[in-house]
Amino acid sequence: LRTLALAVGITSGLRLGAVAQADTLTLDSGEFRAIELSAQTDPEEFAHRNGIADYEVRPASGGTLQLRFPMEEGVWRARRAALCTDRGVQSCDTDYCQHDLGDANAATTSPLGEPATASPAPPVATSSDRATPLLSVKVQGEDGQPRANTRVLLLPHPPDIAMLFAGAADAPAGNPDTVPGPASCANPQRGRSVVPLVNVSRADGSVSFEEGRGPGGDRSCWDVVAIAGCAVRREPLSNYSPDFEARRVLVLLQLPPADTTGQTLASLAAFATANQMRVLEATALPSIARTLVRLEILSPQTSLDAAIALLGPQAGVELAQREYRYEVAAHSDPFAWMNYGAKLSGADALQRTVSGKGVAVVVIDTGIDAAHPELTGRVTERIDVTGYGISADRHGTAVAGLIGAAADNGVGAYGMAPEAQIISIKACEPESRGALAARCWSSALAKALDAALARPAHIINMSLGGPKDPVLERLVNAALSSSRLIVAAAGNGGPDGAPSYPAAYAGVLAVGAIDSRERPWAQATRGGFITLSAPGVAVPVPVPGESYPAQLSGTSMAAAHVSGVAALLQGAKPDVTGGALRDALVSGGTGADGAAAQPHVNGCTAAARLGIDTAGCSSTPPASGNPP
Amino acid sequence: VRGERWHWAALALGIFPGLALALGDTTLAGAGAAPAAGSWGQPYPDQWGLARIGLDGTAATQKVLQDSCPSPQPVVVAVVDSGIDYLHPDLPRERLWVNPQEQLNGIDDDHDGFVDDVIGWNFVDDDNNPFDDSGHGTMIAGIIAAAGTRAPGINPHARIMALKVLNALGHGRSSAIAAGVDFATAHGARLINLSLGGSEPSALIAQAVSRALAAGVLVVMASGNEAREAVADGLPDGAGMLVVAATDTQDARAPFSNWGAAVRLAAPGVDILSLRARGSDLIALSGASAYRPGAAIVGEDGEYYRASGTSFAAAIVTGVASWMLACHPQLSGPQVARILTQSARDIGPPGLDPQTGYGLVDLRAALSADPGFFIESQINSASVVTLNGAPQLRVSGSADASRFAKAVVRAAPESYPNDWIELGGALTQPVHEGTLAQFDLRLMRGARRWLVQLSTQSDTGQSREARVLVDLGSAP
Repeated sequence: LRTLALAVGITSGLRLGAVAQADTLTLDSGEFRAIELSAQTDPEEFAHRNGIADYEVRPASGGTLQLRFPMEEGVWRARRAALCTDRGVQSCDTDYCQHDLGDANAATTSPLGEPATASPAPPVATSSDRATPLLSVKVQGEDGQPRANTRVLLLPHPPDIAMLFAGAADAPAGNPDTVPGPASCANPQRGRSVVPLVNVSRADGSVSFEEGRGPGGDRSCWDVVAIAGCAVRREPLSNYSPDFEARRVLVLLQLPPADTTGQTLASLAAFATANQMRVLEATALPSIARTLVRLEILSPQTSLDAAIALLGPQAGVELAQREYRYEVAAHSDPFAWMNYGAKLSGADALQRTVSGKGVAVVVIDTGIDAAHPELTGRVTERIDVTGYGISADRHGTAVAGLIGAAADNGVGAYGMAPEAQIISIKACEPESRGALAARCWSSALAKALDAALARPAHIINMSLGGPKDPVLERLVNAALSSSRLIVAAAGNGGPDGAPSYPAAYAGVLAVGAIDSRERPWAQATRGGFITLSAPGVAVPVPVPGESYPAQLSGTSMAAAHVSGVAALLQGAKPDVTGGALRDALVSGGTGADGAAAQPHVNGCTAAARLGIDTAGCSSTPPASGNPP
Repeated sequence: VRGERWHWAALALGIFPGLALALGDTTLAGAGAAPAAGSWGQPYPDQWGLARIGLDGTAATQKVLQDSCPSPQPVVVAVVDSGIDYLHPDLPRERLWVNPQEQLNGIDDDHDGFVDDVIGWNFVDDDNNPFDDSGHGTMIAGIIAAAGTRAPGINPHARIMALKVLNALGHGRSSAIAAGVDFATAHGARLINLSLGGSEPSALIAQAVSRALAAGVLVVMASGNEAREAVADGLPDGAGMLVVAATDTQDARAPFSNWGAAVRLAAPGVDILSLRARGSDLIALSGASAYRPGAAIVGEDGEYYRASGTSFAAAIVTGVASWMLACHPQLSGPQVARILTQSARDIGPPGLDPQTGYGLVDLRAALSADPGFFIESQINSASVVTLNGAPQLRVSGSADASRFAKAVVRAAPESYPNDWIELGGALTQPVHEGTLAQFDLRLMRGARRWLVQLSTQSDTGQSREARVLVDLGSAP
C-alpha cells in the first residue's frame, strides 16, 4: 500500500490574495499540462526539482500519479523537452480539452431532421428592469478580467449518492411542523419541464437569471455553473442567493412582563389565521428573554415578503424574517490523508502539560456518535433541537473527535483536548441517512444557542455557515456578552464565496483552513472577517460505527481544531473569559504568510499570552515544517 | 518512387466521400419492412438501431440469444463519459458496477487512493459522485444496459462503471480522461466505451489506452462527428481497439460520421433513443442553434432522449461486445473484436473500407459465429517500385483466414469496373502485412484510375474483399 501524502489544490497567488466577492464566478484561464509519474517518483520532489509551485496530484494507474499544473505556452515550449524526459515521467502532454461526440447537430446540418425553422424562445433567462433577478453574477478570469461569452448554467444539484444505497424512503420523515425536511433536493424532481437554464455572459462578464423561472425559492437544489471549454466553476446557487424556506416566517416576540397568559402569542396566532397563515411552533428563548415563533404561509397568493411585511408591525413582534438555511462546512476528501493537525496547532506540545480535563465544549452540529471508542465517556449530554431526534452522524462525530477524541487508545490520536467533555446539540440534520452534508435552519440555530447559554460551557463550536440572519445575530451577541467563545467555520465558498455567518459576526472567532504544509486551502472562503487559520485539509476524523478513520476537508475541521486548543487553554486557566481566550488565540497565532493571510493557530504562543505554563512547548517547538 | 515521373494520388482510402455510393452495393435499405411510425412522428421505429443490429425484440431473436448463451455472466463496462443518472428508473442498481471492496463511509476501504468510489468516480470535480449533468453518459449507459420497456438497452448483463470525465457541456481534460481509463483498467472493466474525442491527440490518453489494451480490455471508440477523415488520431491501433462509425436508417454512413483507415465497424448513430439524465437537455447544452429546447425529450415524464452522433454508434458496439463477453467470459478483448468484425454485415464498398470498416455490427451473427473463424482481407498500400529498370506496382497488405484457400488480386479501370485483370498468380499461402502482388505497370496502360481488389477465400466457400482506388496520374 502506498500512502499518498498529497492532496494539493491548485492555487495561484492572485486567487489567494483576492478579496472575497459575493457576486463573481472565477474561471481558471491557465493552460494546464499533465505528467504521469512512476510509482517510485515522489511528485512533491519532482515538482520542487522542476520549479513547479502550483500543482495537483491524483492517483493514476497501478500506483502511478498524475501531476497537473498550469504553465504558459511559451514556457511549456521551452521546457517541455526537459520536463517530459525527467526521471520518472511516463507520459507528458498538454492537458488538452476534449469533448463528447454525442450531438451531431453541432457539427452538421440537422441530422435529426428537426425543422430548422421554428425556434421559439430559447431557454435563456434574461433580466428585466422590473423583476428582481434570481441571480446576478460576473464571470471573471483569475486575472480579475471579465470573461465575456461564457456560458453560465443553472443546473439541478446532483443527488446524494447515498440514495443509491439507502433509497429515497430512508430519509427521515420528521415532523412537518418542526424543521423543514432535509432531503427535499437529495432527489431532485424529474419531468420534461426540468431543464437547465443557460445564459451567456455579456462583454463586462455579467450574467443574470430572472426570479420565477427555474428553482424559485428552493435554491438548495440548484447549482450555478460557469463553463468555458474545460474550465468549470460550479457553486451552489445558495452561495450567491441565500437559501430559505419559501413558505415559512420566523418571528421574534417580546412578551410584555404582564403577559403571563400568552395573550401576545394568542393575538399573533389570530392575526396569522386571519391572513391565511398558521403558527407552527413557539419556543421560549430564555437567554434573550424572547419567544421564537415559526409560521407557515397557507395561501399561495401571499408572497413571503408580503407575509413578513404583514407580521412585522404586529404587537410584540421585534422582528420578522425568513427562515434561512445553513450548512455544515466539510466535505469528504477524495484522496488519502495524513495526521498533522495536533502537531501543527501546537496541541501536541501543549498536551504535555495541560489536558483540558473537565472543560465542556458545546458542539452545535449534526448528532454525535457517543458510543464511538474515541468518544467514550466524553459526550456528557445530547440535545436535539431539529425535531428529528438524536442520531449518530458523520459531521458532528468528526468535529467532536477533533476536539476531544481519546488519546493512546490505539484507534487514532486526533483529539486536540483528549480529556474535554462534549455537549452535543444537534441543530443540523444530514441530507440523507449517513450523509456528511447537512442543513440547519435559522430557528434550530437560535434554539441551539439558547440551550448552550443555559449551560456552563464557555466554548461553543459552530462548524457551519450561511447567510446573515437577525435572529441568529441576537443569540450570538447574547453569547458573546455572557463571556462565551464562539468558534465558527469561515466557510467553504472559495475565493468568490460570500461571507459566511455566524463566522462573519463581530466577536466570533472565524477560522479558515490550511493544509499540512501550512498553505491556505483553496476552497476556503476569503475575507477580512477571518481571524485565524487551522488545519483543515484531509484530516483524519472518527466515523460513526467504524473504527477506522476517514479524512475530511473543510473549515469545519479547522474550527474544531481551534475549539480543542481553546479547551486545553481553559483547562489550564479555568476562569478565563471567552473574550480573553479569543484574544490570546488570535494574537498568539503565528506563521501568517502575506498580508491577506491569517495567522495560524498556535496553542503554545496562545498559552504564553495567558500566562499558562508551557513547559511542553519549550522542549519541542510546535511544528512549522513538514509533518512526518 | 520518383514523384515527377509517377504522380500518384493517395490511395482512395476515404478521400472521395462519394465513393461509397459509387461503389457500394447498398441493397439493405429498408430491409423490405413496411415503415413503422415511431413515437415522435418519424417513419421508423423508436428503437430502429437495435432492430438493425439483430435485436428486434421478437421471440425468434430471444431464442437465438438464449440458445447461444445459456448462462450469461455479468460484464463490467466502463462508460468514460459525463457520468450517469444512477437514479434513473431504467438504470437500476443491478445494472451498475458496485465496487465490491468499497463502502460509503468516508474511508478508502480498498486503498486505491479514491475514497468511497462505490460506483465509479467524478474526475471533473474529483469526488465520488459521477452524476450526469450533461445527459450524454446516461444515453451511452442506457444504450448498453437500460432496463424497462420503452428504451431497453442491449445487454441486461452489463454492469456500468460510471466514470465522469466530461463536464455539463461535454468537455473534459485529457488528464481526466486518462485517469478514467486507468481507473477502469485497474478496477476490472472488460470494456471501455470512449464516445469522445478532440482535435489534439493526447499522449496521456494514448498511454492510458495502451495500458488498457495491454491488460486485455476491449476499447470501443467513436469515430467522430466532423464529417472528415480523422479517426482516433494519435491513439494506439491495437487488436483490442474498435473504432466505430455511424450509419443512418438506410445503412449508409451518417453524413456527420468521420472516416479513416482506423474505422473497424459501423453501427446506427442517427436519431437514437435512450435514457435522459434528469434535468438535462443534451442538444440544448451543446449549443445547436436550430434546436428547440426540450424537442429531443421523449416520454410523458421526460425520462427518455434522442440524439445523433458516433457516440451512440460506439455505445451500440459496446453493448454487443459486452453480450459476447457475457456469454463467453473467457474471450479476450482482441478475440471479441475479431468476432464482431468478422460477423459484421458488410455495407458500403465491399470488404474493409474506411467509411464503415467491416460493416454493420450484428449481434445475432456475432453470437452464432464460430469464435475461431476469420477471413482477413486488407490492402494497406499500393506503391511503385522499379525492377530491372521497369516500373512495377506493388500491392501490400494482409490476406489470411482461419481456413485459408487462396487470395487473388485484380484490377479494373474505374470506368469499366467489371473488366477485371488478374494481377500475378493467386496466393496459396496467407500473407500478413506483406506483398500481395507485384506486376509490370505497363499492364495498366489503358486507364488512369484503377480499382484494385483483393479477394481472400476460405475453403468454406466464403470470401472477403478489399478495394482501393489507385490514380496513376499522368502515368504511361
